[in-house]
Amino acid sequence: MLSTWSLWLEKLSTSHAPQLTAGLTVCGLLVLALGDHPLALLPWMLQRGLLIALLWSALRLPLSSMSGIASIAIALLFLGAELWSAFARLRHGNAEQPAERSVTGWSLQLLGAALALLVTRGLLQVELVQRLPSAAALAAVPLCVNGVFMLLLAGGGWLAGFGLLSLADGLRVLYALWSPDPMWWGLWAASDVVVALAASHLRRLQRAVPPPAPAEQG
Amino acid sequence: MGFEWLFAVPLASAVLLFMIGPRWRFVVSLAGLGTLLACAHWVQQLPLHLTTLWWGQQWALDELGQTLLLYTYAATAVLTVIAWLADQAGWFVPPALAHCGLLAAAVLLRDMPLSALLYASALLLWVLTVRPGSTAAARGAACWLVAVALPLVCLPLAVALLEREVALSGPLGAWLAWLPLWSWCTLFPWDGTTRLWGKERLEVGALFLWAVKDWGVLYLWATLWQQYPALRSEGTLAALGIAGLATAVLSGVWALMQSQPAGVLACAAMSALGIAVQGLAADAGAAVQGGLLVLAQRSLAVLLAGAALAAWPSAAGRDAAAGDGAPRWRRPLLLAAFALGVLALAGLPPLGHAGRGPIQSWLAAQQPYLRLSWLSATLGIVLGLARVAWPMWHSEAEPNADPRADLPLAWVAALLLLLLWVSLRPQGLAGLWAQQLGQWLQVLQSG
Repeated sequence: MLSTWSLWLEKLSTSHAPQLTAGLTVCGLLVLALGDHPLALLPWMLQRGLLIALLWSALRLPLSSMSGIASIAIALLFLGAELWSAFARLRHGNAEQPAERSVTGWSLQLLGAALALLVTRGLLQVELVQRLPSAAALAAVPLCVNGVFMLLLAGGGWLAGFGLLSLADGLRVLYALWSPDPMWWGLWAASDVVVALAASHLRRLQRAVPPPAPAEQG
Repeated sequence: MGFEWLFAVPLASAVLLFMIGPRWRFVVSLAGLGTLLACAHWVQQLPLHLTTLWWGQQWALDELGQTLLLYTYAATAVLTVIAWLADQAGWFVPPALAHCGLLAAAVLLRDMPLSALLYASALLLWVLTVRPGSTAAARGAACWLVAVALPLVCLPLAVALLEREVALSGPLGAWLAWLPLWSWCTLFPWDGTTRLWGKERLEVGALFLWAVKDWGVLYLWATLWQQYPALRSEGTLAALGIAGLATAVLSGVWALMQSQPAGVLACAAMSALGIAVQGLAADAGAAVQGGLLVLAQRSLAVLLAGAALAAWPSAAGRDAAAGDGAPRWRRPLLLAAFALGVLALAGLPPLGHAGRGPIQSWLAAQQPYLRLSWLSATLGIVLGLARVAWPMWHSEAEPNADPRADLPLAWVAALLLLLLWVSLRPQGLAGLWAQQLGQWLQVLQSG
């Protein structure tokens, strides 16, 4: 079963690399546009899956499976946090929350996504980036740029966590160029899970705490 | 006892105390203090510079690592007592012990990327200790998460590339030379540490991060520079100095906008950190010593002012419960201790000037605008202090007749005496450093 999946992913990563790379960019932009909305988890997980598929043929099996296991753990953590928040709201009878994102917030997110696309396009023309293998540059640059924009637009743990993990994914693509060490790869995947644990904890807190009073700072 | 006890025992103790839970705060505090005492004893027994191979990694202890660990144990012990008295022991002790264990592993490991990874993980633990109830604290923890996790992502990758002998030339080399600036992210003012406090009272966890974190990050810097001298370019040090100046000035002015005492303390602490980094990045003997002195004063001043803030609710309650004719001395004492701590952070004489003098005399020769910049930061902190002191003095408190509420005052008095000793006799501390950290000082000063 595993070998069938492995063969399929290897074939996919070689035959559909341009589509996978384009998918990475689109998913990152979607996460940016959705921001703190719970649905942002879907494109982010899809982005992560596409990255694993894209790197499948370039990496040895233990490294790819480490990334896969870490991704599953991260998805479970984020999903758990969302379900816990929803359950807590239902239990306390305040399921009817006001809209989380104002028009200004949505437009800011969309502008951020558009700007990220422009910056990505610009960076791909830079001489230093052009020295990298084009497939790696096309995968790493959108991930890094989208990650940085997510960090800049983050108002809490949710988008900050996505941003950090996207940035780490972009750097991981670069690291994959230098025959990565399995120990470092595993440690990096473990640190991803730690970051996701902290981000999901903050997400739970933010959904649980009352709305800020006007005089409160921060 | 082997070196592995230094990280195995605190980590095991943290797990055990976490399971005991916050209900048994006396037991948790006592067990935490016992663990710290045992670790302090072991770290003094360990032979220095003896490399051991264990789990495929090299482990060794040097003078700087020993000093850093002893300082961490001492600061954690003081804060454990404050946490116990401020009813925060159940939340504070397990992550603080886990931090001590992971820091010990980071200090003992010779492998730089793994060491950085472990210490960043230790700092990330603190995000998990943020409690519900304050939106500002949750947002601050998100900023903290970003600041801590960025080096976690970037530093090990870049050092791993350096170890593969990627030539430090061309654009990639220049990018790698900026690595210390990535680690600077954890020192930078907007790292979220300042917002981890609760709205009503100071969280001991945030106080812990102020008191311990920067020394750990500086230790990693020094080790990084020792292992990769190419990273110590003139441009990187100049950039660090500029970042330090910006931190000092912006944080000082920002203090003026704070409406909570903990906010003013946070900004003053960040401002002092910026000045210390300016001294450390100056690459000159006297300025480096001054930077270290500012850092030591900062740790003590933050502990003093933070302990005064943590003790404020109980002391105010004791004063409110006093009879009509009884003297109400606790609030004036705590307010004075808080003000002295903040003024020492602002660099005002006599307490705060000893460390800044050598830095200023070295840097002012090159940068005439420095005095004005520092003055603006000091002014912002002093005005911010004046702004929060008045409502603090007139705040209401629930009467509290329990005599145990006076115990934190003893800590405040002890910290005040220690700060006075360090500030009025800086040469004593300098001598202690020369003895303990001679090798490290050479690394910092051998530009």
